Amino acid sequence: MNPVLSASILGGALAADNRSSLRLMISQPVCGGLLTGLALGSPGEGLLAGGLLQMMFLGLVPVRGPGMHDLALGGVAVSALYILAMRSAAVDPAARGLVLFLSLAAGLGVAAAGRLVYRFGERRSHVFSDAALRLASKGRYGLAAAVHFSTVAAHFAVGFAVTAAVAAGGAPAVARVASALQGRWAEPLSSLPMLLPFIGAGSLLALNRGKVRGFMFLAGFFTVMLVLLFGS
Amino acid sequence: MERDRTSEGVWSEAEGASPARGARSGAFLREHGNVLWRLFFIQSSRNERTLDGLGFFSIVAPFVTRCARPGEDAKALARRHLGYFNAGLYLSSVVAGVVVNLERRRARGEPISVERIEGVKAALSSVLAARANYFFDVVLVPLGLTIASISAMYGSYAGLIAFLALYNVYHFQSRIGGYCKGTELGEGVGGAFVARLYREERAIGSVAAFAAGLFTALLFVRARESGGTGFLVWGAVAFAASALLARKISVVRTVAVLFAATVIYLVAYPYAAARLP
Repeated sequence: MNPVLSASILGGALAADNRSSLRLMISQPVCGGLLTGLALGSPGEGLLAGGLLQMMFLGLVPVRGPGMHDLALGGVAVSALYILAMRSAAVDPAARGLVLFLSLAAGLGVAAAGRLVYRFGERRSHVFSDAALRLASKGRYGLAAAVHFSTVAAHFAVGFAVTAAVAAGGAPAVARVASALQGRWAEPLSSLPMLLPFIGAGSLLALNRGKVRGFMFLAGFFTVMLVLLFGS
Repeated sequence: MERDRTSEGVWSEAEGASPARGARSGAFLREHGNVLWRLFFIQSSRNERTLDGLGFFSIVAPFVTRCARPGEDAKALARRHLGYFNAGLYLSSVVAGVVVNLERRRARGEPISVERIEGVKAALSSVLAARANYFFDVVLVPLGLTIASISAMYGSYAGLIAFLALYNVYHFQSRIGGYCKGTELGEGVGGAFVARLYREERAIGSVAAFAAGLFTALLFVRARESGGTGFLVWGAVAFAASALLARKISVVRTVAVLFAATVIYLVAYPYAAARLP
């Protein structure tokens, strides 16, 4: 199957999982990244890209409504961009770090844009409620419920369209930028996977404040240190 | 009066396995089978006016004609359940089950007023939403994702599978088990039930904190191995800044700021190191 099409179908399915409240958690970036990798034939690279986005947001507690960023689509976008751009002939394999940085930046943009799209959607989607109310007033209860379920298709469509646009337009753009810059910035950025997860670790500490959980955090930290100390 | 059941389990209590129970399960499935899958889409049509009102209606829709009293307008019942509803994601099923229980008893002629049903629905919604959201969003999901991240760091899928399994056990239990409990207990879903929900929360919270500490230590170890003191120092700076900023500004802004700062550090550091005496 065409890679853009398979990534788009996956993007739609994960958007439906995330926004329809099916919430099996396969839409978390680390899962979405792996699934995108599987769909595109590079599961390891998908896991790396999606996992990195996930690790940056580990301490994020989702609040439904205006504050909810679309990390599900962000995860698919990061992985698809990274995998597809790395396949471009113009990109030197040594520029892996630069491509990862550009993919992550684009993925963060997709997550932020997804928030705006759904804010807009939640403001307007009372039309579904109004339509269902009209149908229920006529005694057509099954149809009124069907109006609700039709929104799952709308979530799928948004996810499909966003992923298609990102994969079809974004991957060549990332490859072009990476090939133009790869001589200068490529090498230092290959260490991104070592440093970016510290952002998530910090927010996890913020989440685990308090006597008991703070103590357990330190216990986990020093367990590794002690194992290393005595292991070496 | 509600009897003290705080020592019992929440989702499967008391009666044990018996042939009568098996027959009851079959009857339950025949009656509610059409509802169970609907529970998973409650927030799909969330909007600013009625929040999950339409989602709630989609769950109770199969009962509308059955739950209207003889001579009563089923349309009025449908309109009632198309109004405002906000019970979060995980335990809205309990509220739906309780409402179905009350509506069916009312249809059978029990003296249950519409106001009483609406009152129970509103009261349960807020209590259960707060309870479930904390357990899932602050305790269980961060634990699962930390485990998944540790394993992903080393290129393994095992943590991911463990996360999905752990989360979905609680997830399905809350949504399907919650609905079953709601239909079974009706208004009996009260203080004792809520108190017994997720009793393992403190233990899981402690494990989550331990896993987070483990994850952080492994990051420092990896940073030292791959980049020496420079990475160790920057990792500590990013870690501390994230812990402080996540409380002051949002996590999302913190990520954006520190992502940019880390990229600038990585690009600028070799140049600066080469030019420094």
